Amino acid sequence: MASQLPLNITLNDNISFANYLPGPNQVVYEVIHQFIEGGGETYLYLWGGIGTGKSHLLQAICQYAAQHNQLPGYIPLQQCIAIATDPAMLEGMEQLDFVCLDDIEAICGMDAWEQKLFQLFNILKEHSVPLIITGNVPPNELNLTLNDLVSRLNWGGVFQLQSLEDEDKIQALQKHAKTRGLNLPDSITHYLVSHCSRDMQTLIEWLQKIDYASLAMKRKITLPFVRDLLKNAAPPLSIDRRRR
Amino acid sequence: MYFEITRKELTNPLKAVVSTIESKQTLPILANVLVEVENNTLRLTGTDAEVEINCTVPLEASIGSDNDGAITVPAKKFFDIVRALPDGAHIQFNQEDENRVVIKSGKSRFSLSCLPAEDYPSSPEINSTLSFNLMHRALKDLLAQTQYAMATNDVRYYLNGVCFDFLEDKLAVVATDGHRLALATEAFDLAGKETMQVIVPRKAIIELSRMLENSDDSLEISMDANHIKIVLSDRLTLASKLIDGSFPDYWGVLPVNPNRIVTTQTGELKQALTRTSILSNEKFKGIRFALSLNNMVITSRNPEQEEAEENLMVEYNGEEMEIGFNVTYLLDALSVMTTKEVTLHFIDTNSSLLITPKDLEDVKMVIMPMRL
Amino acid sequence: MPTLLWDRCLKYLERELSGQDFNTWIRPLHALEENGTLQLLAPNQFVLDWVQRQFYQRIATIITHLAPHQTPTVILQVGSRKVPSAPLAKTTTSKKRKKTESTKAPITPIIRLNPKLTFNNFVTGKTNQLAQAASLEVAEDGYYSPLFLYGGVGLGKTHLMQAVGNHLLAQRPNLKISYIHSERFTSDMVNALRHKKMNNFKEYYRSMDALLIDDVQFFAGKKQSQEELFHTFNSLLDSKKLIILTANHIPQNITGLQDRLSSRFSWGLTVGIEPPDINTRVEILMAKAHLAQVKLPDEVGHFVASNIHNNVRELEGALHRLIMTARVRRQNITLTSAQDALKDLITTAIHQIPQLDVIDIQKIVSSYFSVSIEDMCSRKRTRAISRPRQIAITLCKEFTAASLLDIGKAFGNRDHSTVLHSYKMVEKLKNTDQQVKSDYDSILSNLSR
Repeated sequence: MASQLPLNITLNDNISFANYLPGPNQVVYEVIHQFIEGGGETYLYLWGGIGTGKSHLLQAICQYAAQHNQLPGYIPLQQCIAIATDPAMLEGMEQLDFVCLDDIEAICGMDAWEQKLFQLFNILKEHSVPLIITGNVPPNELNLTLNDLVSRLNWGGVFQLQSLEDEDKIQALQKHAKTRGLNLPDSITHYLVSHCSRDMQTLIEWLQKIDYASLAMKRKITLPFVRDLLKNAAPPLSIDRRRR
Repeated sequence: MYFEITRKELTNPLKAVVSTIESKQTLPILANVLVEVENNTLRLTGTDAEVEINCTVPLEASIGSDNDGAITVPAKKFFDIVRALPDGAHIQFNQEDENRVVIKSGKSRFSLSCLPAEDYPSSPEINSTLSFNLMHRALKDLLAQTQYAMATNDVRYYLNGVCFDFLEDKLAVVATDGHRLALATEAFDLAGKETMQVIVPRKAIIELSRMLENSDDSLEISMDANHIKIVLSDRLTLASKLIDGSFPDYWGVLPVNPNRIVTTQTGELKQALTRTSILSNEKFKGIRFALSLNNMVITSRNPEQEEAEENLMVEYNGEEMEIGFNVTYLLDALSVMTTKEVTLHFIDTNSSLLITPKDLEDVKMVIMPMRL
Repeated sequence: MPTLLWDRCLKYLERELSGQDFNTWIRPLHALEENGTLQLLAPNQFVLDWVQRQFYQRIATIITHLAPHQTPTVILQVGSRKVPSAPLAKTTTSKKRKKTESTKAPITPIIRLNPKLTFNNFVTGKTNQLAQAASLEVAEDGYYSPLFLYGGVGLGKTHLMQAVGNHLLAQRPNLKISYIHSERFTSDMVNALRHKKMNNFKEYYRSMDALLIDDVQFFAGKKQSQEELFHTFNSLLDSKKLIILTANHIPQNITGLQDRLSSRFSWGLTVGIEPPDINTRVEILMAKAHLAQVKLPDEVGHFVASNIHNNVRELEGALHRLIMTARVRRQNITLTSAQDALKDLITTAIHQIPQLDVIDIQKIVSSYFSVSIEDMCSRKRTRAISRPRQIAITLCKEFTAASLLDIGKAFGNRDHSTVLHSYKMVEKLKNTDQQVKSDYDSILSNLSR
C-alpha cells in the first residue's frame, strides 16, 4: 500500500532535565544538582535497577554541562565492552570537564577494565574532574575483584534511585508528550501503561512511534488510533536490548 | 450614536472586518461587529478572540461630537444588508436605544438588535519587543510561497500556522504540515536587536494574505511574545495572538548536500504532472519519477489499472533512480514558483526532495517521498 | 575557542544520532577552527577511531552543507584543549596527515601533594598510632629510608605518606617531592618507552629529594617497571634521598615482586596499619565532620561507626552522603535522617532483586505456599489459593517490567483491573495483616537470592 513518509519535524524530545521526573527521587535529584553546580565533592555514585532513570540522569547531566560550555563525556560501559576488549576508551578522560560512567556492573571481574577504571578514578581526582558513576547495586555488592576500586567507589556520596510508581510514569509520559508538542489525553497514557509496558524507556519509544505515525497519516491521536497501532506495529526492543 | 455613509465607502471595510467573524461562536457577542464613531471617523472591528481586524473610514458629513458612540451589531446581517442595497445608496445608522439600531437607506428600513460595546473583547496590548517596516509586495510574496504548506487542525498546534523567524540578516518564513515544507527568505536587517521566532496562526495568515496588496507601500509589523500586530495602512490593522510553542528545526529538514540534481522548465513539468495526476490513485495521489541521463519519466497508475506516462527532457547526469510522490504536493510547490526553470535536488528514494527556483537561494520547497 | 560552525554541526548531529551515541562520541570532542581547518580533538585514540569510522563522513558532509564556499578540512586528532598539541598526541585525518609538532613538555607532569592531607587532621587510635609515630619521625629526621607503610584499603596509608611530604615541604619549600601511584609510574614509563623519552623519565625520578610511591603491589608481574624502579630506588638511596612506599601487605608477602626489590623495600622502616577500632572510627568521623564544618551529633557518629567497619574511606563516604543529604534538605544531621540516608549500607534490606520475569515469580510463590502454578492461574477462589495468587501478582507488578495486561494474561487470562485490584489489596494487607506481611517479606528474600 502507498504510504507517505513524514518529514523529520517532530519536536526534539532529547534527554534533558526538562523531561526528567524525579518522583520518589527528589532528594537524590537535588543532590545531583548541587553536585553539578560544583564546589563540593567531585565524585558521586548512583545505583538502582533497570528503569530507575540512571542513564537518563547521566545524559541529562552531559546535556546540562554542554549547555554551560563544558566538555562532558558519557561512557556507557555496557556498550563499550561490546565494542572493545581493551579499556582504551577510558584513557585521556581527564581532559574533559565532566565524566559520566554508566553501568559499572558491566565490567565487574574484567581485570583490565577494573584496573583502568581505578586509574581513571585516581587521575580524575588528581585533576579535580567531577565523576559520576552508576551501577545496579551499591559498590560493596558489585563483585569487583579490585578492592582498591571498591573502597574508592565508596568514597563519595552513594545514593539509591527508585523506580517510578505507575502514576509517576503516566506523568513522565505526559511530560515527554508535551516536549513533543502533543497533548495526550489521560485515557491514552493510562492505556499505554496498562497495556503495553511499564518500562519507561519502552513507553517513550512507543510515544515516538505514535508521534511518527500520526504525522505520517495525518491522524489525530485517539484511543482507537493508538490501539490499532499497538496491534500492528512491532514492539520496541528496548528491554531485551538492555538485558543483553 | 449616529452616522451617515455611502454604501460604496462602507462595503469594503465592512467586508474585511466581517471576514474574521466565525459562523459559530463561543460567545454571542463574537457574532457582532464593533461600530465606533469618534472625531468624524467610523471605526469597525471584528474578532474571533484570536484574530482581530479593524478598519477606519473618515466620515464626510460632519455630524458633531454629540453623535459619537460605540455599539456592536450582528455582523453577518449588517454586512448582508449593506451589500444588498443598490449601488450609490446612502446609509443612515442610528442607535435608537440600548437594544436597537436602525439602518435607513432611501425607502428601506432595518431594525437590528445590538449588544453594548463594553462587552466586546478589547484589542490586545502589545508591548512591542520588535517592530519594523516591510513592503506589502515583499510580505505578500513570502506568504504566497509558503502558506500552502501550513497544516490544518493538526494535533501539533505549532504546525497550524506560519513561522516568522527573524534572523540577524534575514527574515525566514516557514510553513510545514509534516509532509512538505516551504521556506522563503528576504534580506532583512535586525539592526542589532535580538533574534525572534513567532508562529502566526493559520487564520491570521489567510486573512492577512487576502488584505496584502501588490504594491511598494510600506506596512508596519510589531510584536511581543504573545501577539503580532500588522498595520497595513493608516486605515487597516490586523492583530493576532501567536501560537504558543516552538517551531521545529526547519533547517534540519533541508536535505544535506543532495547530489542528484535535475533542472527543468517549470511550466512543462507542471503540465506533465497535471496530466499524470488524472490517472493517479484518488486517495493517495501517488506518481512516480524515473530519472536517467537527461530524461525524466513520470508515471501514474490507479486501482482500475489505468496508466499515464509522460516523458520529459531535463538536465540530469546523476545515477538512475526512481522515487514516488504525492502529486498534489509537487503541484502546490510548482504553482508558486515564479522562475521559468526550477531545480530538483534528490538524495535517494527515502529522502526528501528539495525544489528551488533555478539559481536562486531564497525559496526552498521540501517534499517527502511516498513509498508506492 | 568554541566555533560557531561546529556548534551548528552539533545541532544536526544531535537531531540525527541517538542520545547515547551523541553523548558518548560527539559531545567529548573539542573543536578548534583555524586556517581553513576544523580540528576536532578527541580524548583518546579509541574515541578518535570510532568517530573516524562511524561519523566522520557525516560530519564532513554537514560541514560542507553549512559552509559550501569556504569549507574547512575536518581533522580528527587526539588532544586536549588544556594542553594544545600535546606531545603524545597522534594525528590522523582522512585526507591529509598532519604532522604534530613535538614540543618539549615534561614526560611526567609534576604531581603535587594534596595539601589537605596533613598530620594535623590524621586521627589516631590504637590501630594506627605506630604508623603515625613512625611517619612523623621520618618527616622530622628523615632518618629511615625507605619508609614502608602497609595495610588494607582505605585505612589512611596515602594520608600518612602525603602528610610526611607536606610536613617536609612546609619546612623546606624548595624540596623536590613527587607523589605517584604505582599504576601511573608504570603507564608513564610505557609511554616514555614508546616515545623514546626514557632518559627524561629516568632523570625526572632520580632527581627527586623525596619520592612517594603508592600501592607498590601494583608492580606485581611487571618486569620492566620493576627493573626501572629498582634502579631509581638504588640511585635515590645512594644519594641519601627519602623514599616512602605503601602496599597492601608486607614486602615479602607481595606476590609477583622480584626478591631484590622486596628485600630492598624492607631496608628501612616497615610499619602496618590495622583497621580502626570503634572509638577511632568515631573520632575519625568527628574530625572529618569538623573539617567539613558540619555538626555531627555524637549518637550519629556512634551509629555510623558501629555499622561501618571496613575502612576509613567508607566512613568518609557515609559522612559525605549524610552531608549532601542534609544540605539538600536544609536540615541538620539527626539519628533518624542518618538511618534513613544510610539504610542500604546498614540494614541487610533486600535491595538487589535480579531482573525477573513473571514465570520466575510464579515458581517461587508456588513453592513457598505449596500451591501449584496451575491452581494459582485457575478460577479457584478459596483463600488458600487466592492469597498466593494476589501476592504473586503484586510481586510481578513490583519487580517485572511486564504490563498489567501481560501479568493478567499470565494468571489465567485475568484483565488488568483485576491485577490492579490484587496489588492494591496486598499493599493494604501488608500494613494490616501480620501474616501477609511476613509471607511477603520471606518471599522477597527468596527472590533476592
